[in-house]
Amino acid sequence: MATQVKLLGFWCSPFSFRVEWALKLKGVDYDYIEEDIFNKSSTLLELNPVHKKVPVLVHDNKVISESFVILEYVDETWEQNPLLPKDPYERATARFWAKFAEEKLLDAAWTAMWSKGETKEKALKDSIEALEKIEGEFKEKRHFEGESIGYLDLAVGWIAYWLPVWEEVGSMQIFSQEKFPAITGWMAKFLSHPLIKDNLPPKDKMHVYFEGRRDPIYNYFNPKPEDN
Amino acid sequence: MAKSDVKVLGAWPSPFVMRARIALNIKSVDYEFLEETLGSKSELLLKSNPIHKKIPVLIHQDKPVCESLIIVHYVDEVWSSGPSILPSDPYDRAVARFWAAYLDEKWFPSMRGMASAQGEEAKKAAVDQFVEGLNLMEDAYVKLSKGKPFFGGDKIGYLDIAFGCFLAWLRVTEKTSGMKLLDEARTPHLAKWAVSFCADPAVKDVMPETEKLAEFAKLLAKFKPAPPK
Repeated sequence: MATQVKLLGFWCSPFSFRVEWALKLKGVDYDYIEEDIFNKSSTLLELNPVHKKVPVLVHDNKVISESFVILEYVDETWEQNPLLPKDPYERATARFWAKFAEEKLLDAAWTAMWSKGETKEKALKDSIEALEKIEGEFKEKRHFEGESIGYLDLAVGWIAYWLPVWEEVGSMQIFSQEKFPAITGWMAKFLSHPLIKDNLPPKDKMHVYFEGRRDPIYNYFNPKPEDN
Repeated sequence: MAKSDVKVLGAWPSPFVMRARIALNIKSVDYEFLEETLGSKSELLLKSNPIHKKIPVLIHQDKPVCESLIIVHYVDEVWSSGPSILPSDPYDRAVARFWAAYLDEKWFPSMRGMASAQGEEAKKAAVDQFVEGLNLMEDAYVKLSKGKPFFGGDKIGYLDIAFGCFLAWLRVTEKTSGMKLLDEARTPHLAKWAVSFCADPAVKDVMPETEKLAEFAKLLAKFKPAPPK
């Protein structure tokens, strides 16, 4: 019985990469469909009417949206190379830290990248605080041991590759090797994993893209008053 | 299992705490309910949830589990011989998780937004988002319940818990705003589901009475905690 798996993604979205990494780790064949998120296809709007976002996974006729929901679906559907641990407490811990990084670090780091003034300062401070907490957790738990990359690594993988780009584009510093030795160690292992290192977007193109987004996003949230 | 093996740190008005309690009730797990006082956080809470310092926290064999939906998953996985909370099929689980995430990220904030919104435009936007959410949930209910009483089918499940926990606050919001929000005319299935949900044995003892919650809401409005982060 042939299975058809399609993934709607965007070439530099950390959210769609999470799903790609998961599918590759499981050895699942899939068709990748690039979405222009600035000109969303009718397919995307039909498949994800609630959020109108990528990634969207289509498995036979089943449509799943939201990257963390997709990760768990992939893990439960293809049981080889499990992403989540078996133990319920460890699963709860992995889910907790994935949610934490998403809500407290990713949002803040992204905001710090495009914002200015007080907003930027606060977002930077929040990012650093969040990263410190993650450092504490990584120091204790050693999530990435040997080859067994898992759910949490995929959930926070963007820190290893997208964060440095955002830092440059935003002329800011959140991460440093001296301050975050455990994360530094994890980053090196993560980026050298065979299935990760060949599945990353081109960095130079990423720089151009995020540079190009920074000011338009700022202007969107800070519309100029009508009379100057 | 000894009662002291399982503790829930929480407060009776919190919908998120209710999720944890309903899950434990479904599994017939005895637990100690440690009520936090409004305006102060116990040492046990600060120790168990140092990252967020929030309720609910489930403490099982001295290990803390935080975040209400993560707790519900944990309860379902640990007490696996009891009635299932998550559906058994991976796709059904994904759909339930999708809607639970939607409720927490988009819908519940719009309910709070209705109370706190400044100005007519902001208020209207919050109400519109809130009502749109109810319409989406009505459609989801029709699809997922397949003619049965609950999102989870014959018995209450993950999405029933994730959504139903907000019903008491929804009624309080109706009272204070004077608006009919859960309207039998607009969302007839949800209106019926809400009655069944609240009557469920796992729910009825932990669902606050609207009057009592409305009084609490008044108290909360007077008590000015530090602004949320």
